[in-house]
Amino acid sequence: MTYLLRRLLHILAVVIISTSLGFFVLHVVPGDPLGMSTEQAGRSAEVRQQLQTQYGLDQPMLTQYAVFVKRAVVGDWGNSLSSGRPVTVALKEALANSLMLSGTGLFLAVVLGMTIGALQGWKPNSFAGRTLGSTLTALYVIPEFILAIAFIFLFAYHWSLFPIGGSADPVLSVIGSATQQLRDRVWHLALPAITLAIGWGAAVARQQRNALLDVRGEDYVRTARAKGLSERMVFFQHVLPTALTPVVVVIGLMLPVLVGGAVVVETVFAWPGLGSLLLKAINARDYPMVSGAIVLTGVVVAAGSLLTDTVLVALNPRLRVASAAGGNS
Amino acid sequence: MRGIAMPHRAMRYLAMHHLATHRAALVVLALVVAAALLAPFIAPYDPAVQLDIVALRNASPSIAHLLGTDAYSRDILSRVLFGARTSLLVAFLATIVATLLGSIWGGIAASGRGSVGTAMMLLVDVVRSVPRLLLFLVAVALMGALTPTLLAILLGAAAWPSTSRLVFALVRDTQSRPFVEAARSSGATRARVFMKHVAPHLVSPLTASGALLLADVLALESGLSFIGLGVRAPGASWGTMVQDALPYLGSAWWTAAVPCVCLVVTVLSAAAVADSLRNKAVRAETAVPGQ
Amino acid sequence: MHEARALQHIQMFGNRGTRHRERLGQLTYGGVGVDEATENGTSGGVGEGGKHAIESIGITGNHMVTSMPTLIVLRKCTRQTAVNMGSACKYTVPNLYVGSTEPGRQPTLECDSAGIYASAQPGEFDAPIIFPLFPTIMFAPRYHILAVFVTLAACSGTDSRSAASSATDVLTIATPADADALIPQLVQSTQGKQATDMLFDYLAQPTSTLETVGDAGFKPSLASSWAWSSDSLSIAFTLTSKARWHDGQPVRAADVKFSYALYVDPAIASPHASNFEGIDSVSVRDSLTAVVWWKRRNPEQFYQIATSLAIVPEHLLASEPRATLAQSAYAQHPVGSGRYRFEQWARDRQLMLTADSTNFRGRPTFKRVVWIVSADPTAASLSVLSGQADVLESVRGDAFVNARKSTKVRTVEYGSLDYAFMVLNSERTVGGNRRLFGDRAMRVALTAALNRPAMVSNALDSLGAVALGPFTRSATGVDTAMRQIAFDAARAGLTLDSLGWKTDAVDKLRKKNGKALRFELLVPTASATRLKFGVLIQAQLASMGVTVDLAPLDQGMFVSRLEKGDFDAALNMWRTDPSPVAGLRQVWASPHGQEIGANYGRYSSKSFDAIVDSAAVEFSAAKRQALFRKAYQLIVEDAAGIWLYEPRNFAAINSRIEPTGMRAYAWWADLADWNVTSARVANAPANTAANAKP
Repeated sequence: MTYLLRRLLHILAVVIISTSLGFFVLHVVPGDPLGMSTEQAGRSAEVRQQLQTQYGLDQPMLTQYAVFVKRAVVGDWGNSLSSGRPVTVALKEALANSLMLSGTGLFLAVVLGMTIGALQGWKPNSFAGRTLGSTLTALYVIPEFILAIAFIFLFAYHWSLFPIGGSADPVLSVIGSATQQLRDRVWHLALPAITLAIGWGAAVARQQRNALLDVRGEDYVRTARAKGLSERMVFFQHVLPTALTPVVVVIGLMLPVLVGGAVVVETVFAWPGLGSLLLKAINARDYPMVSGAIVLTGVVVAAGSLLTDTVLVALNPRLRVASAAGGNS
Repeated sequence: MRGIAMPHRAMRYLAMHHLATHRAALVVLALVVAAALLAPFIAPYDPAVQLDIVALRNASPSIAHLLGTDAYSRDILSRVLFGARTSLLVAFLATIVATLLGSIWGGIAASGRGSVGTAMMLLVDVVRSVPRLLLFLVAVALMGALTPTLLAILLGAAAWPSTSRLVFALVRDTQSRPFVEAARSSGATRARVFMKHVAPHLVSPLTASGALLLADVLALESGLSFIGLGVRAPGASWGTMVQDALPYLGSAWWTAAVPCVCLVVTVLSAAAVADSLRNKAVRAETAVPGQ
Repeated sequence: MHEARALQHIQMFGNRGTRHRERLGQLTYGGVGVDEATENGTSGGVGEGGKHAIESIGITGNHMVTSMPTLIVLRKCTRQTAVNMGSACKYTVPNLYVGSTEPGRQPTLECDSAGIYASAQPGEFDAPIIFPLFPTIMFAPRYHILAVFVTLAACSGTDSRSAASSATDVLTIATPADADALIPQLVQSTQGKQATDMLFDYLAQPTSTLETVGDAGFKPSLASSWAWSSDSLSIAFTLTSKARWHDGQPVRAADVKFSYALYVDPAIASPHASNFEGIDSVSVRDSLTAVVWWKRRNPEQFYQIATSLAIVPEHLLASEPRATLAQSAYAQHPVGSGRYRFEQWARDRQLMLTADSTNFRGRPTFKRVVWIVSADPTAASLSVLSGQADVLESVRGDAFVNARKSTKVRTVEYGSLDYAFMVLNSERTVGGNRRLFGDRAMRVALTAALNRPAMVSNALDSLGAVALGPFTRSATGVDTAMRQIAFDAARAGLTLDSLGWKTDAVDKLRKKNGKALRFELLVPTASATRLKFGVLIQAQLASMGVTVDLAPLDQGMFVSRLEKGDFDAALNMWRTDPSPVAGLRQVWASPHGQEIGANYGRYSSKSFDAIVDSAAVEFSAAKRQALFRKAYQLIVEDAAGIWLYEPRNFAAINSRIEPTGMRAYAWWADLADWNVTSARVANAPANTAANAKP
């Protein structure tokens, strides 16, 4: 129970510190959210001054911070300075879209990466393992935007297998039935999710492969084999759990990406997710939106750590003893 | 950890396979580094000179320009050679910085008391929560243009949180193993326990993440030019060459393909070399006396 | 009901009212057998063993029968048609789209033991029947049946987006950003302006040739007529009695007065408030007449009120608190009087408007207009080229080349309002010299050192022209043959020498008193073209011994430094208005103390100010033109800025559409009346102004 409480406090601490840090950092960077153009007649100086007062932007930074904290605690995250929408509404929508895309991508990546990594690590001389692994790494190295554009060009434009972008067909989303919309959504999801899966899968595969290559030479593996267990049992019951540690950590590290990481893919595929929302908000110096997004990211990052640690303890029960003893070594 | 080696035959196969790829990768990497070092002497043109912005724009490969010219009529071969200097410097330095910082931080956090470790990891989580773009914008605002070295350090500083988390988890996990307990109870100092028993288990995962970090940094370096960080014109780097080539992907694909291929080849060979170094470390550990 | 058999394909036939059948399309799938009993000459024929092609599920004449659970979606049938379909009612009804957006025109849908009947009343159907790109196949387990959507197009013309949606059902616009607001008083983005121009009306609308002086260049819109007072200090607009808000209420003069009040209310802080300078008030004479009062005459009174005042409904907005207007319910679902109604707005994804078929100006061409947000320009261009989107307002580079080659799209040029230039900060100390750029000779030398035509050719290919000055070629009083500062590197070098900047023999840099001639050039990362120009300028000046440090900045920082005056030089762009006065004053008029407007370089010329002031109050169109010509000549010879390029705007539009009335300041102005030709253009269409030399 105390462990859980401590971890929850951890999450809270992360959120508070990171949001404050982000708040101050964004205010330090020059740029006025109310005057973002030099290319045409915008608001007159008086109007801008008036808006600044209205939004409280002419207050000293510490005062603004205090106001922000006061409002945040009661749940008022304010409205976006660019669009006027409530921050919570915009974040919720974008988060749902991001989760849909990144969640699918992450799932595919884990499946792909662990399979290929296992192949490479357990049977390192197999042709399949080597070529698949090298291909995956090679694809990983290619800058993401090139990969995304190449995919669109080939699969969406040339061969018309997938739509070029967006998350849903516009007319269908208004008139279509639930089944149709679902089908349409999956169809739009496929290409960006695969693009993501390649990059993340490469990371997972690499860790998995290395971990397996190490573990295979260890004592208890020989013992298990000597006991007469089949290769399969040796692999799944004895080798994999130990070799999973770095893999689980790497996957846990990817969890924040679910929230804000897939910016490039989201931009190229016009997927209205949190990554592109955050990018736009930072560029527009949209303080309320950026603060809200940081809170969200902080929660996910800290929760991801919690999840990872839990899984690691499950894999290696000795850790629980270590942490219970206060980690004294 | 001393253990019994794998069957001799399997070891030999593994060794031969790795030797071949090891050799090839080493050669490739050496070539790339040599090209980078010798660039001022072997580059046919000045990489910044725009030879004829109307006639030689995106010219396809020819005798005069072996790899063609880019959108600004600069010779691509020369830019690739000079770009190698910047890209390699930035990528390797940033990776080393990130790995070192991360390992030290994570190692200390895991070896120390529980509260210290928790506090240190809390800081890591905080840094990971703040969007990287924000941190980069502050860097631009405060520092303006950066030399490649400073850029590398900045990139490394942006990447270390993930490495530290990895190291933290691995060290804690390894420390809980019986052989470490055994070593400790035999009276070895903490440092010795760490170096001899825990550290070798870090080599493998770190090389895995290091190779990918290299690739990440190379890609990141090109994306940064969009916010004014990164290599500024007319400086060449593979990443910025890719960025410049993007609008012409359809009509002048080689302007993007050439730096892309360089990126891929370099990272793959670096990864292969890192792997064989790792294998050497593993083999040294698992060698049976007399073989 | 019969057992399933393998099928090769089904061919769909339509009926144009005769017994003649024509093939409309083909749908391939497998697993279902068809047993047809048809009348009126439709051939049936099911192959045994299922390997044979089915001849038809035809609708000929009035009746088609099939026991196959095939859903027929009716569309554009001009005949009473009854379709008898297979069983599995409850599985298929939700997926049947036969509809009309007009109340009272819904077809009846009946289902009995023998099948589903969809009977349509004679007459035109307005409903866009949505056909998913892949056929939706569903299994009804009890019968092992596949239900398939098949649409029949009674009119030909399959567009590439779906096999059978009508050519005028939807206009899809691929846009780089979402609209920021849909209330005219709040809107700032061009996407928002496109939408509000569809949703709302103005008192008068411009004719094809926009004349900003007087009212000759305008035709009635919401106001059916207007009358000037004898002293020209007021205009009385009489609204048309036929105008209705989308909720059915009539448009009244009170709405005009209310709309004006909203524009100038400080609580709203509208970015367009300054457009109403010089207007004293708006009053209501009777329920359909509103009077606009000016403080003093000016030549562009009518233009000012007709293009700035969008009319919003008082009865829906009066009760909304002004300060939170952007969050109000109305803001999420605006109601206007325009030819399109609001339908749906999925933020950062798409905005959908639907036609107001009862509008007093007639039904618009397209039933729906959808803006799809597609931030990446490559992806956006691909979606237009593949037919998934219909309009892309700006194509450049590779996308332009592909669009020219394609038969699916046509490229249409519409005039440009933008000019890009290098701002030189005349107050700045550069290279150890105070106010270096305040010296005309220096500015002229730098201009002459740059090969601007070559740079334009490199960066823009044929999609841009060298800017001649702070105006575009379509502006009033422009003489494209005016004297320019020509590219002459030798002369530029000599001028720099004479100013004391001599080339150092060792490092080849120009130095004066030991300090090198070096300055920083700010470039906004948001503009790819200006980034390119930055690199080109840097290289050209480097060959002259002048060092340029490029500083690409994100938008916020770029604006901040320009406004603070913390820069040496910057690449900026300006969007002109059809009326040049306001723009010229903002960017080039002498600063008043700290008030610089958009004159970031703090350029000052009293003679220029004087000429522009005279032009502003000149009522004669001819004299006005002459004055502008003089002003332009003066500022060009003074090299107030280094004029770089004027982009040519090309839109890529699906070739079934013939756009009309694309204005430089609003390509969408006549969108509601664009023509749609069903015929697919065989060769690349003759692009209207595309071949004209700049």
